[in-house]
Amino acid sequence: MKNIQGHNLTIGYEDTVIIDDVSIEFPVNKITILIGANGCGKSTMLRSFARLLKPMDGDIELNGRSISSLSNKQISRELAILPQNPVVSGSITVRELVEMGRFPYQNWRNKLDEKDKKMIEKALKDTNMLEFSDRTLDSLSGGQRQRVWIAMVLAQDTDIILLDEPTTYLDVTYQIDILDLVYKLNKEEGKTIVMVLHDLNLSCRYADHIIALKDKKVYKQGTPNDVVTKEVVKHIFDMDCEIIKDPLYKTPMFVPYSRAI
Amino acid sequence: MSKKVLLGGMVALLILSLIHINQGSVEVSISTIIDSIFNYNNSVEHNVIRDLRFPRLVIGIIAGGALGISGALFQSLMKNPMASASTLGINAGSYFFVILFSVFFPGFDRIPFFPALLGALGTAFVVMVLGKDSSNPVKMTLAGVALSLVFSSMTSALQLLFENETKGLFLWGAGSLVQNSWRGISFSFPIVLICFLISIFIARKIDILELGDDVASSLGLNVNLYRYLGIIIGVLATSAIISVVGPIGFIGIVAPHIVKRLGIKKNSEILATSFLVGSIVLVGADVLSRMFTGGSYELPVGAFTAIIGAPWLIYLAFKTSKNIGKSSYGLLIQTGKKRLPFISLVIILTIVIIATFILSLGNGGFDFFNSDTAEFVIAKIRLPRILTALLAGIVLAISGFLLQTVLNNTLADPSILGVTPGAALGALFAIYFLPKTTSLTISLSAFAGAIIASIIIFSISRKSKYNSTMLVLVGMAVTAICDAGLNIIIINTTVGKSASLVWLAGSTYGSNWNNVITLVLGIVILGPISWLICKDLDAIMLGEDVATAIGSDVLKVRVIASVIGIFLASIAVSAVGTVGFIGLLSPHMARFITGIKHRKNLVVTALIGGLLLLIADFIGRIVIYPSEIPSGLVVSIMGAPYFLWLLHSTSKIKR
Repeated sequence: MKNIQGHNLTIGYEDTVIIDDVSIEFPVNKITILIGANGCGKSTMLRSFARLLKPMDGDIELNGRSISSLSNKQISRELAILPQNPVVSGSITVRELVEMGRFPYQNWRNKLDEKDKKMIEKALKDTNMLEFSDRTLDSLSGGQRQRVWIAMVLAQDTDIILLDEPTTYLDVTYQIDILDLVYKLNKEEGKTIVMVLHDLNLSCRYADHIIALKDKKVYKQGTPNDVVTKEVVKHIFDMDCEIIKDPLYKTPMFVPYSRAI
Repeated sequence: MSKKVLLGGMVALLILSLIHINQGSVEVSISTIIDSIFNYNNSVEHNVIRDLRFPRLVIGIIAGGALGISGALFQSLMKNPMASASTLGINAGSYFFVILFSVFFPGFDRIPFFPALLGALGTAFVVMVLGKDSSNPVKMTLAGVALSLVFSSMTSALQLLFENETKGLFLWGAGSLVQNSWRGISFSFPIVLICFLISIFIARKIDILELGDDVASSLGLNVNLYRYLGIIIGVLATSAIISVVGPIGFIGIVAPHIVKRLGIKKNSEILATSFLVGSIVLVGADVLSRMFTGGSYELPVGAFTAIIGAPWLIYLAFKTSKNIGKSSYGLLIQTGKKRLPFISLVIILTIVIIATFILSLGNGGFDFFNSDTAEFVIAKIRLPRILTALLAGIVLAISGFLLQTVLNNTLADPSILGVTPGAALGALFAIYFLPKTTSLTISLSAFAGAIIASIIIFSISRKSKYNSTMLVLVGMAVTAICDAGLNIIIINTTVGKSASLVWLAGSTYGSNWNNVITLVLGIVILGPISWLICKDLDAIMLGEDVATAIGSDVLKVRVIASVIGIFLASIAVSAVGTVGFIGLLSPHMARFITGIKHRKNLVVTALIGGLLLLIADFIGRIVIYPSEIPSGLVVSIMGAPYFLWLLHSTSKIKR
């Protein structure tokens, strides 16, 4: 039960259409990364799949049922999303935030049971945040804070995880750190992961499947080798480049031409 | 473009001026007006024109213009499209200092420019400091609104305690152009003129400043010099006007916006046309307000500008709320380094409340324990009163607590939302216009006022999905309209002024068992629902996006919690009048000592709120016995310093 797909989606805000009549299916148990130029609607589309933004037209299907027929709570037991750059009070402790990931499983008494506690411990351990669990968020670095958010998402115990630019504003060390964590989750627990990333080369390294968006449509999708070619990059980023092999991982690597040098 | 606007504006102003001069109890022809200037013959008509009508018109032009340019200056220099003397609290600050001054120097017959300036500068400074690090104009505006609340409650304290010294200032305090000599003009004109010239002179620099501080300084501009110079000029012009005609709201917001809507972009032109448009709006408002009343009663122009300006603010809110409300932002609260254990905290608070309760019951200005009437007084008067204080405190605290999380803002409070002012207007309406005034009719009418105000606020902000920015702005507009109504009522009546002031200041005086029953009912019914919904408030506190992501139905919870919050506020206000701050401060204190969980906070907040009003009631009864200080004022005086600290600390909460 890890299936999420959209049929004939038209997405936008008020009278601006950002995604126009797109059908899409994310491969199960794989890491899918959405790429495209700024403002092409990557995040908007991801938000729609996470029901944070209602599509203007079309339907999203989660594990075989239309998302609009499911209760918010039901969705959050099957699909988790980390929105882009969430801002909360720095006085919250790591454990308190991760505990909120168990919200979909709690009744009106709001008490954590054994299973809840187990999932919270596991999420903290998987993200290496166990030793920080009593620290407040404002005492953590940006990379550690992002780990806490991922721990919260993990505590939700869903098979599908959406991440909206999880590495933005982070130093390169932390970017690798977060992406490694995501990679591990996918490989060890088989979670279906969909993310938006800005860095093309890191996308190629970590993705099983890449979806390139352009002009309100899916321009091309497939494995990194299929998608990240000179022609595609030229088209979606309007930029000339060479594609070489990443010397370490043999994934495609893009080297842009400069227009001045 | 700008030339056409200027020309059209001039013509409009001229026509309005002619109508303006012709308004009054005596009809005058245009030839008489011209004669009074060039052919002065000391007749009554000529004197009326020269000493009453011309000064009123001229001060209208000067005041409108000054408010227009100061609004334009504040808006561009503070990067806040909602900035103006009224929204930033400058009017209220200035007003308070003038009242304070007149209390200490009752015989002083000069124009109170320096106290006005002191208040205005102080407030501007505080708002600037608070809003400095935040790029969010709503936050700065909210600080201004909250600051206005502090000042106006302290102002009503002074008005109540020093009724004789301040009674002459009511009309002025509502903003009135009535003049009986040229004194105000000869005083304010030079100041406004100088401010105007300097602002035109630095307009080019402001153009550059608007590109952003970093860009401006890399272009070689002394950013701070021009920013503070511009703001000081705006404050100076405003205080000169306030000291003559009193605080007049909304001109400073409306005029620059009309100008910008006309497509004018350069600051030199914006400033010049803002002056003109400000004059037109103010003189026009004065003309309309007199047409409206037909001279039968006094409708202060300040009240009238509020009535026509408030819808403008709502319209503005509609336009800006889209860009501001970020759904990824959660409630930014601050907790102490050490959190106290919940159970012991509740026990301690309960013990303190019981102790205070007994102390308060046994002690009054007069020691009843030795008299035969003791039992009677305690059972019939003191007990219901003290219970009312305790329960109303609890109710207000819960109300503020719910609204803060729902609106995603720790400065939210029923009095800021416009619920309390609505109730106040309802109560005053009952006091003056209903044939028979009993405490029940006052309560019911206050309740009706609060409900009407809330319905207005919520139906307007429904379209924006109860976006917190929208709610705050609409609340501000509704508050302005209610205040205008209050001012009109108070100015035009002589009987019962003091009674209504007591009510407005928030008083537990004369509370009876009916109040107690209503409050108990409110707590028993709505308390448990609040407690249940606290689970979802924990989620909502993380911001709309995250809350939805983890499965909370944000919109539904927001609506339920707001309705409960407003209902509770209305109950409390109908029982004790407009008591501010409790709903603002108790949740903050509770969060500081108990942490972030809403269920725990709810209990602690309620206890703290009850305790606060209990103490305030006790202090109010005994300090100046046999007189009384209304408990609302005691709360304000106790709360103001805490509140300022709170404003300061929320401006640098880490996330």
